[in-house]
Amino acid sequence: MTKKTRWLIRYLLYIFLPSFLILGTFNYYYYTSEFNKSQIIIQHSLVKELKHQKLFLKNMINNIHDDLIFLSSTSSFKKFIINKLSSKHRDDLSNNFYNFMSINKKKYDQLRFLDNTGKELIRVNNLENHTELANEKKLQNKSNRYYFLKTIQLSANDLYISPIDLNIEYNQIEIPFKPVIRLAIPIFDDLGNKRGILIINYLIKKLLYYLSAMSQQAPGQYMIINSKGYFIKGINPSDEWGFILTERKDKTFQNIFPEIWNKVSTQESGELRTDKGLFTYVTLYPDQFNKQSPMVQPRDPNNKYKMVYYVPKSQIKDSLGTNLKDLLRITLSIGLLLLILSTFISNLFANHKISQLKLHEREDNYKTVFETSLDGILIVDINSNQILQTNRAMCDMIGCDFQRIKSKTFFELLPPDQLNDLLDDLTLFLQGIRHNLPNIPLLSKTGSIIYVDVTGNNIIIDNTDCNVGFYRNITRRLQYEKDLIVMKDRAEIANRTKSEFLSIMNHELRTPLNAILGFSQLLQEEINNKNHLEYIQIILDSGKSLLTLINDILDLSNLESGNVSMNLKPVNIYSIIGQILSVYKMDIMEKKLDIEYHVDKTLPEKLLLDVKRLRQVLLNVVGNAIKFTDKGYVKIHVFRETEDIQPDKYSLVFAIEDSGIGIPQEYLDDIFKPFKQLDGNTNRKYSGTGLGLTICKRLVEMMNGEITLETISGQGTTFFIKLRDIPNS
Amino acid sequence: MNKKILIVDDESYIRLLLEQTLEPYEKKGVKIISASNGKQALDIIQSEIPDLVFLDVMMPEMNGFDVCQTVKKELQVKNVYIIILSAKGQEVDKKKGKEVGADDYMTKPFDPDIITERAGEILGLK
Repeated sequence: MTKKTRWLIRYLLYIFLPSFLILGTFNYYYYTSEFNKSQIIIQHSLVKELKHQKLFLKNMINNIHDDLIFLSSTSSFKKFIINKLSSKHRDDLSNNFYNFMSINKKKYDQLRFLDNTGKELIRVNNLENHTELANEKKLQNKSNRYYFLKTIQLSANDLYISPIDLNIEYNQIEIPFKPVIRLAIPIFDDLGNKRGILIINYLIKKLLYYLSAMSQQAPGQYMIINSKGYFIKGINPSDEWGFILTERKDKTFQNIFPEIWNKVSTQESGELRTDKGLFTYVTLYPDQFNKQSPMVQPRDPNNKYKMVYYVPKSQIKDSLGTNLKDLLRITLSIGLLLLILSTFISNLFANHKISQLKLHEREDNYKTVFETSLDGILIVDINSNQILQTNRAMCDMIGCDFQRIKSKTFFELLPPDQLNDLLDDLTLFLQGIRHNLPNIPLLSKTGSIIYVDVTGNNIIIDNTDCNVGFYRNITRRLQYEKDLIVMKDRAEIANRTKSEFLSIMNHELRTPLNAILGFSQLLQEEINNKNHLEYIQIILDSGKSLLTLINDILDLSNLESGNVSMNLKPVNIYSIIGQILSVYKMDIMEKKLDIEYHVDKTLPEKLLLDVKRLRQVLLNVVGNAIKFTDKGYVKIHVFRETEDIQPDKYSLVFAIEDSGIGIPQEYLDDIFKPFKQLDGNTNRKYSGTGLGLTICKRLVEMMNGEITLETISGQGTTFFIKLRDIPNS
Repeated sequence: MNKKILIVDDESYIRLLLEQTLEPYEKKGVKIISASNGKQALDIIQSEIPDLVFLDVMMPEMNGFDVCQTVKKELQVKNVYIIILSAKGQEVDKKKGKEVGADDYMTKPFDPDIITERAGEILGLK
């Protein structure tokens, strides 16, 4: 991962996460408030609904109550009561009741009149298909039944409302279930004596149906429970009537919603929000529905019902469904937008950061370069000439610390006595017109002068025109240069002295040698004594030998000092070989050596060579071959080097082969070194200076060639003189 | 008129050697004159006008090159054959000899026979 990517991700986290968190929080609260709002709306509607239903129920009860009052106020009923419940009037009333019941077949189940003792005097039943007036024999005594006992104690205008019950016929629960509610009023005669009760069984199935129908317009599940928590109307029909049906005795509200039962059972009404959902409930006290004598306190607190609306959470959410989806979609869109925006901003930040880092890095690098430079560096404000910045090298050079240097102006670094001379140049330098100044003196802390070469240019730092200059301390270099010049002069003098010495020595040796040789030669002609002649010959030979040595030393000295120049001339190989052999004619004849020479026929007649040098070399090598060969042959071959032929030039080889004494292996390394002629016997027999081959090697190398040899001790030696780059023409 | 040979050398034994070498010609009437330095040599050349001069180079007062230069280039003395006879045998020296107008250049040590031979040739006495 690149540095930039890391910063990008970091910034993205800094920007996107909080903003997304805010968005999320906002959405959460928005959603929660929408949810709550929705809950409130639902509850509001449910409360309203429940109020409606309560009113509806009350009206229903009132209506039944009205029917009872109406029935008790008919003339036939009144006659029946006045005439002490006589059988004659009872029939009229029975007819009356029968008519009433047949009209209200679906509404009522049973209408009875019971006397003070609880004995049924009239009973009309609405059966499945018809209305039936019970005959005398079927009338029963109900004195021990709860509704009788309760009602008979009531005073006028009171109304008894039984708990909702399933109708029991002959001790059997009637099937299909026939939920009923019994309403009864006490009957008094004109004197105020209690005569019995009028009781009617109201079929609440229809009522429940109405209520269900009404509830379906409201959200949620509608429930009616009695004071014990048994369902009259449950979420499932199979939950209902648990207080009557033993097999359903566990089906209670408490068991289904244990967590809220306590509240629901103790509070008159309420709105509960639980994890499961919304519960809205009211309590009904049927006793309170009597409009003729409304009671503030219910007579029977246990005769109460709870109407409960339960709206599962999922249903509330469903009602928010589209909103929620929209919200999600918007959230995601905004989130995406945020992400894009954050990425964009993060990218900007990351770029900025990276460039900042790079800048820091560059600054650090420059600082390091600045500090590690061996050259002193000064940054000078060119308006005030104040020194703004410097480095370690400068401090070391001047011998001041940072702060001391920074407190100075540029010109205070210069020796005051030279300031006038330097002022013009340095001003041009500071202005950026001149970029290089050599040999500028600076004043060190100790008062000594340091010389520097200066290079510099103008830059702008914080809107200030500055000059940045590099001050290279050349004091030591100048000293070295001075020393070098002195040493060079000395060396030249020494060299000249040597040359002069050699030249003078040469002269000084030659002149007396001239006398020795000259007079020896003159004496040779004067003397007849054989012994004396021999001595003179020794003096002559030694003198000549000394002369050769002097010549060789001079040659070598010239070669080493490079005082020798090449002098190329067209020359015929045969004539060179002829000249050389003629020099050694006497020796060849004396030793009776076979001399052969072969020159490559393809070679041009004349070659461009330095004749003098070549002759010197060949004289030496051929001379050696003759000198070290007592019998046998000396052969000279001249040919082109076949390996080294180029279009316009070639290498020429002179091979000088002899059948002489050869050179032992151990001397080969030293053969071209000065004064390395073989020691011992050979030295005496074969005289020489020991410089010949050294000079030859130098000469051949000077002619861009090389000299090598092959030898077998006792059998002979071959010297190869190879000259390179001989022009073809 | 008798022929004249001038020998110029600051070393007396070289002068002696040359005189001995050229002795055969002296017997034939050639006048052998010696000088031990350049100035003296120049005077003699001007006064005697020798036919042949053996001229050393390294001498006090005036060196051989200067003598030769004066005789040949400045005074333009005619019929004087100057052989420079020097211990300096290098190329530059020989070149210098040519420049100053010397007729020949021989190096020390010289072979007395060759000196005799050269002198005979030049004087036409062989």
